[in-house]
Formats: sequence, structure tokens, C-alpha cells
Amino acid sequence: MFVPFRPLFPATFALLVVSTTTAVSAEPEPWLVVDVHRPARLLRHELVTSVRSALAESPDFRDRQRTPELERVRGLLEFVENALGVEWESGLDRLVRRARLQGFDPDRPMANVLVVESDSRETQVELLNALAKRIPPLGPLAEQVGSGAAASRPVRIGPLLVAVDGARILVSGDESLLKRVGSETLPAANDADLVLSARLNVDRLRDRIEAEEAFAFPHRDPGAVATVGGWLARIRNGRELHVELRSRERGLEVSASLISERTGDVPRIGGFFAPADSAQPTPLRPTGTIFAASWYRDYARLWADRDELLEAEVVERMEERDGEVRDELKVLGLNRLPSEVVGMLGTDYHVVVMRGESPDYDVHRDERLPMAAVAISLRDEQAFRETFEPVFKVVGLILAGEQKMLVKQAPHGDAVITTARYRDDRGSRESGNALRYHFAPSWTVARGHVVVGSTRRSVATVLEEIERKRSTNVEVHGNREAAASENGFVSFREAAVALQEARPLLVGRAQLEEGISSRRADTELRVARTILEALGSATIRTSTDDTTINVTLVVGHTDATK
Amino acid sequence: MNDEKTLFGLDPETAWQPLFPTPSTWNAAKLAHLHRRAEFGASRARLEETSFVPPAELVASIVEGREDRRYEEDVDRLRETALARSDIRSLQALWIYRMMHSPHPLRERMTLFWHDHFATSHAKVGNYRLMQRQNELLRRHALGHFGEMLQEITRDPAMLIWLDSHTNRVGHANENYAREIFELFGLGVGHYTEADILEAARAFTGWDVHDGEPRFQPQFFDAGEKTILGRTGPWGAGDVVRIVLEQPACGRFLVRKLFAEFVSETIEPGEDVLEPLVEGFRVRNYDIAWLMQTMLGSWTFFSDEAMRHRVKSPVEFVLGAVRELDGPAGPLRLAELCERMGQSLFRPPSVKGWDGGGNWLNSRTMLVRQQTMIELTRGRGLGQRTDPARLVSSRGESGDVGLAETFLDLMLQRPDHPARDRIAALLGEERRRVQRGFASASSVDGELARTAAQLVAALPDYQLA
Repeated sequence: MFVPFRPLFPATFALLVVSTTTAVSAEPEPWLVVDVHRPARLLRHELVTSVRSALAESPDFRDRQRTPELERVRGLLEFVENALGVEWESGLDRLVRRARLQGFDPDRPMANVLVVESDSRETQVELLNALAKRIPPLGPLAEQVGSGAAASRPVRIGPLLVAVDGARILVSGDESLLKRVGSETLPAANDADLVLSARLNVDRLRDRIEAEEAFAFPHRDPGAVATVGGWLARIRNGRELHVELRSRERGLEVSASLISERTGDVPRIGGFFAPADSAQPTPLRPTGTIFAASWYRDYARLWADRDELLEAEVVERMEERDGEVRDELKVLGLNRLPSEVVGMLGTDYHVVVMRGESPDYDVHRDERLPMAAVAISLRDEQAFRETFEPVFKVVGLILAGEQKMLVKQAPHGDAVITTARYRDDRGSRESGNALRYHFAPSWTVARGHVVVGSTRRSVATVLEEIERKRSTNVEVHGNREAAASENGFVSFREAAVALQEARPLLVGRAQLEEGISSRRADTELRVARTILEALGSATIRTSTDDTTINVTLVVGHTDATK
Repeated sequence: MNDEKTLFGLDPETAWQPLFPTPSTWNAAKLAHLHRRAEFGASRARLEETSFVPPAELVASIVEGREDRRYEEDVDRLRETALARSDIRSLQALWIYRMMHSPHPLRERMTLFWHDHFATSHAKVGNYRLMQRQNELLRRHALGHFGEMLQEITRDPAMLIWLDSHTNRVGHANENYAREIFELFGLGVGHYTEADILEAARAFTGWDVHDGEPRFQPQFFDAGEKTILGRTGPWGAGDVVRIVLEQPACGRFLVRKLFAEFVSETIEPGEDVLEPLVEGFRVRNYDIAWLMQTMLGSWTFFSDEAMRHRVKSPVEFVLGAVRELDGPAGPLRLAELCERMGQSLFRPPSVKGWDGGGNWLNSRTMLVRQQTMIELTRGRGLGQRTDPARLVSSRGESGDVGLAETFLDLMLQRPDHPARDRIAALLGEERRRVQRGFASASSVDGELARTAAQLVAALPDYQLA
């Protein structure tokens, strides 16, 4: 089985696992609040049921159900079934109508309070009676509730105190917190689709000594600043994190919002996220797209602000290196500082992975692999072309000489695509990795972009997509996705097709690496495809404003068209 | 010969008679012994499936094997995949895959034997396709006629390169192949002279490898008269092979080697004991299948002195464990582990093959054997499909002694092994450690099953085939 199985462990029960006991001083506000509303809905969601029924066809999955780890989960589910006399999904639905976990001190697990509200007091009695048989200290509690008491006295089980109040069961390591929270009413969901909402006070978490390093801004690491610096700065200045999970009719939606201070320890990084009034990258999604990501990043601005972002010594070293690299690149015909080259690049970055086609080689390959391309917008296409044309020529010569590749140029509309391909003379299969015959690195500078791809077709397809967006009056640079800094898209359906196209390779690998027969590998592949088809697609969108980063992930059949 | 090691005063007339199954001569241990020696081992299902088959019938079916066209097509594709990866580990993995899945496991077991016999290493040949081609040759003839195999191996491109026959030319004869065909492949030491080697080397001249194929070039062949093992004529390569096969020593040499491989490597049988096999082998034109069927079906093979009297080679060790634990497991990783235990397929240490026997075991390789079993029994990674936890009762009613007996039975066919109580005690300690919370009896037993399998695999008996 290629897809690792992760057991669906009901969150509510997982939360029962707490380790140590310590006293707690009362805190006015919790640092963590997690609310759950009828989580069993997730188990009945079309997406989940499709995946579960596909998994049931997997020999590997069935095998793994006989392992101690899953026996343990099964034991728990069987307990629920036996306790309530219904199958476990319904049992879970009855047991957890609502639940709330509150944490009052990130350093003290016993300062957590879990409240689980079942559908009725009777359900609570049934559960407690069953639990008391396994955990004898719960006996007095079961007796109190069974005798009709509306609320019980807390009972200690190891480090935990357990109490029952009507249809609610309360668990905590701290008695005063248990009393305080016990008097509160669990909130109703904001909307019918909401399954989980969580609120985390980042301030409280950040102040912990252990978190200091994780939250530190990488003032000495230019690579980290360029790749994740904006995120780190926002987190560093973060105040509160909200996460919500919704069960929509056709899919699942997870959204997260990080609210930051306008000012903080770390400067806002200009150029990392798209300003609200700037041009935004529109995702490129040609036919057959498996994965596409588009994001905004102004590296010229980041370079210009380097004194604010990095330590002086690091800046000095980078500037020295800037000159050194220019000297090293002269051999390629490039007489520019890397920082100048960065200044030629625009702010839109695109990565597209799409289904491949039969390799354009004489060597026959049974499988078909996806192809990929990267497109970066240019501030001045003409200047970039003039600067890099000699470089491309030298690179072509190197590839032809050292790598023994054939380099040729071919027109594509008014663009010219340069392609380097491996020689595939007789016998080449025996020496070297035959997978290379899926690749023919290609590049072009056209339509305001530099495009580099794994094959000529990938570059041509991305160029056509850029052109299509233009001709349909969708500016690739246009402000179509207001305030969206990053867009990601995964088509699981296309991935399922790609999986089938790569079958010979995957089955061969499964045989050599896993030792399973081709028949079994085919079965697992079919299961994986079914799961991917059931998942449909996923989109992730990040938007920012002055104080908030919002990330929304939607998985399911919610994106029927491009 | 040391009298103590003579095979218990065997009567040559009866030594190779088929085993007559009675409750005392035919039991689970004997059945597992046959599967272990002939098929690398057996899963519990395979043992159950064959437990009611009379031994003679079972041996015949093991020697005959089973045809499976889909498997052959599957392996043809996989061969190309492995060759395209251009690394020796993939070829090793391909072979281990075949050992694991072949519908004719004895053929793979015999192929391994012949690979050791005609030991050729990729380290010198340097061509994956040629190594694979030789492997196919050995498989094709593994249970065929030895004479045909010897003729073909003499012209096998990998062998021509390995023993420098491709540079053996008239006037500049290279003795390597001539020496080995006498000493290691056909006769054994003491049945030829240095002069025979020099003359045979002349007969082997004229062959080289062109475009992956053997090629005879008459201009480089020494066409003069040669006297080899008392025969004089203008002999060529094929003639030398024929002359070797005509020698009485040839059958004796091969039968003794196969006896050591499949019956016992610690006992040295007298010539008279082996003679019926040698004679039958010779008159049947060196029919290996006949020899193996006779040897594997004999009561000598099933005697107590033959059982667990061979050290498992690394390949036998890993394949046996995978079968017993109802695998499969990843061939690439298994090939790597075999190499760390001292057996790198396609890369024997010398033309003599692997030393085998007690040489397989030393402090380092024993450690790797332990590590291998831990990997195979931990329920994830390499061991994700060989998890012993799947083999225990699903209701978890075994108890510590029961679990110890289950795995002693499965892996050693000795539920009453002297180590049973010690293993049970260790499992008891482990049980107290893992029991907690909602752990059901079956999940605890599952975790203990992994420990039990590791403990049994650490016993000295488990190192023996």
C-alpha cells in the first residue's frame, strides 16, 4: 500500500491522555480553547466514507488492522459499541454532542479542562457503568450518577479528577478549574457546518522559554528570510490563532487566521506578502494540472531592505558574495551582480505540475511521468533576454559537451523554446538511469515571463496558458485575486490518472522495494486511485492584510471546473 | 575419514530409498525440514497445505514445480525495470523477489547453488546485463542436465570475461578457465595434472565477447593436437567439456557437493554410500532433477543427523524468516542485509564462491542477523508485511507460554524447546510493561508476538537450516 494509514482517532478520546500532575494557580483566561460540535458527522461525510470504503479493499490496510496498534483502537471502539449497544459511529455521535478543551497554562498539562457533552444523561450513565468495569475507581461516580444525582462529586483517577454534571462529563487535573469551568455553558456552533473551532493565544505560547527559539526571527540566515521570513515575522508578532474545520456538503474546509500586532519585535517584511493595492499572481492551471501554485514575492524589495532584516555582518558578507558570484558567472557570459538579476525578476511566481505525455525519445518507456514547469514574471523582458541570451548559449554548449545532450531551438508562436535532450542511441538503456528519457529540460523568455520546464511540452503549455489568460482578458499580473498572496491547487483526480500512467514504474518499484507481487501492487494502486478520485481536489489560498493572515484549505468535490 | 562423521554406518543399498512415512518418520519437523532445504522455508499456510501429502509425492511436486505464465511475464517486465536502474542492488533484489514469489522455489534454490558453484562476480564482469544473462542460464539448467549447463557456461559471456577466456589466444593461452573447470566446476582436486590444464587452456582459445554475445574467432584458436585427461585430438572447448563429463570423478564431485549443500555439511559420507547416487546420476546423463528428487526424498535426507546440521546462508536466513512470517518483505533491503551478513549476490568473494558453513557466523554477522529479525518483526518499514502480531490468535488468549510455544513451533517446529520457559518468562516481563489503559488482550499479545519472534530467532538452532 502506498498511502500510509493514519488511524482516525477520535480527538475527544485522544485528549483524555494526559501525563503528569501539578497544582495550578488560577488564570483569568485560557490560552487554548478547542470546541468540537458533533464530530461524528465527519465519519459520515461523503469524502470520509468514500475513503474508508476504498481502504477496505486494500490488502495492506486489512493486514494492518491485525496489528497491535490498530487492535488497540479497535478495542476502544468495541468498548464504545458494547457500552452503548450501537455501532461505534453512532456511539460516538451519542457520546460527543459537544466538547470543549480549555488549557490554562501551557506548561502544566493538569491545568487543562475537558468537558464532553453527550446527547443525554442516560448515555452518560451507560458509559460510566461500562467504564467502571474497566476502571474500578470510577465505580463511585457511576453509583452517584446512577442513583439520580444531577451532579456528582469529583472522583480521582490517577492524576485526573472526573466529575459528571447532567449530560456532561468533566475531566481535569485541577479541582478549582473543574469547578469553575463546570459552571459554564458550552457554546453553540456559529454555523451548522462548523465541526471544530480552536483559539490559541500565541502571546502566551511565545513567552515560554522553549518557544523562544522556534519563534526567533532568522536575522543571520538570508535563505530563511527569503523563503519563510514573512511568515516568521507574522508569527513572531502574532497575538492569536483561530482555526476552524467545517464539514461542507461537497467537501471539508479548514481555515486558519493569525492575528498579529501592527508593531512587534520584528519589522514587517515588505515584499514578502502582496500589498493589498498591488498586482496579484493569478494561478496558471492548464488542462491536466495536478498541482499548481502561484505566489507573490518581491525579491528586489527584500534585497533593498536587507539592512533592516539581517545583521550587519551578514549583509556585508552577502554583498561581498554578490560581487564574487558576478565574477564567477562571467565565464557563462553574465556580467551582472546577482542582486541586479533579482531586480529584473517580477513578483509573480508559478509552479505547475501536469500530466505528461509519451517521452519524445527513441528509447521506449512503458510509463508516463508528470511534467513540471516554473514561470517567473519579468519587470523588463527585453533587458532580461539581452542579459541572458549569451548565458543560455553557454549553458547549451556545456550541456552538449559535458552531458552529451542535443540542444536545439524551435519556435512556438512568436516565442522560441530551447530544449536540451539526452542522446538515446542504442544501448543507452544499459548505462545510466532510463528515467532520464522522460526529461528534456527546456526554457524560454516570452510573454513577460521566463519559463523553465522538464520538457518542451511543459514550457509550451505554460506559455499557452499565460496567453490564454491574456486573451480572455484575465491579466496574469492583474488584480484578480484580491489580497491573495499565495494560491495552491491540487487535483487529486488528475493525480489518480497520473498514477495509472506511471503504473509500470510504480509496480516495478513496489516489487523491488516492498516485495509485493504485481497483482497485489495493482490492487493497492487501484485503491490509491479510488481514494484520490474520492478526494476530488484541494485548494489553498492565503490572503493578508495589515493585521491578519488567512489561510483556507478546501478539500473535496468543490472545484469542478478550472 | 573420521569414523565418527561417517553417516551412521549407512547401507548403500538403502540409504537413498524413499522415506516410508510413519508417525515417527514423518511429522511437522520433517515437513518443515524439506521446505527449508528445498524452498527456503514455508509459511504456516504452506505447511498446512502440504502436511497431508505423502513425502515422495511432495518431493516430486517440489522438483517439478509449477508453471505460471503471469508470473513469468511479470518477472520479464521486472527484469527490464531492474536492468534500467543500472545498479547491482536492483539485480540482487530482482533475484530475491523471484526466490520469494517463484511458483518453483527449488529452481531458485538450485540457481543459488549453481551461482556459488560457477561463482562469477560483477566486480570484474562489470556488466549488469551479462550477469543477469548468466543468472538466467543457471536457472534454465538448474534442474536440467549438468552437461548442457557446463557446455553453455563455458561460452557464457560473463564467464568468458570473469576467467579471462576472452583474452585466451593461440600462443598466449590463459589457464584460468581450464584450471577451474577441472578443480571447481567438474572434477575436484586430484583428478587432473598441470599438463592437463595447459593443454585444456589451448583448447579454450579463440573465444571472446562481442556486443554482449560470445563469439568464436578461428584465427585465435589453437587448432593443434592436445592431450587432455589421456585423450588426444585437435580438441576445442566443447570437447574438453565432453571429456570432463566422461570422467568418473565428475559425478562423484558433484554428488558430494550437493550432499553437503542439501543433506549435511558436517558429515562426510563414504564413497560407497554415495555410489548409488553417483551411478544413477551418470547413467541418466547427469539429470539434476533425478538426483535432487532421489536425495530429497530419501530417508537419509530426513534422518535426525541431517536435520538442522547446516548453517543457514544469509539468503536462506532472510528468505526463511520472510516465509515463516508470511511475508513478503522488500527485496532491495533484504539484498542489502544479505550483503552485510556476508552474501552479496552476483558478487561472490572469489571463483571458489562463498566459504559457507560456520564461516557465515561471527560476532558481526550475528549482530546483523539480530538486526534483520528486529527489522522484520517490528511491524513497520521492512517488516510491515511480516509482522508476527498478525500470526497470533485474534482474541489474545495465548498467554506467555502459549506465545512462546506458537513461535517455537512456527520457526523451529519445537514448541517444547528447552528455551520455552525462559522465553515465556521474558514475555511475562514484557507483558507487564506494555499492559496499560485500553490495551486489549489481543493487542498486548500482538506486541509480545514481535518480541517472541525476535527471541526465537536469537536461538542458536534458528541459525541452522
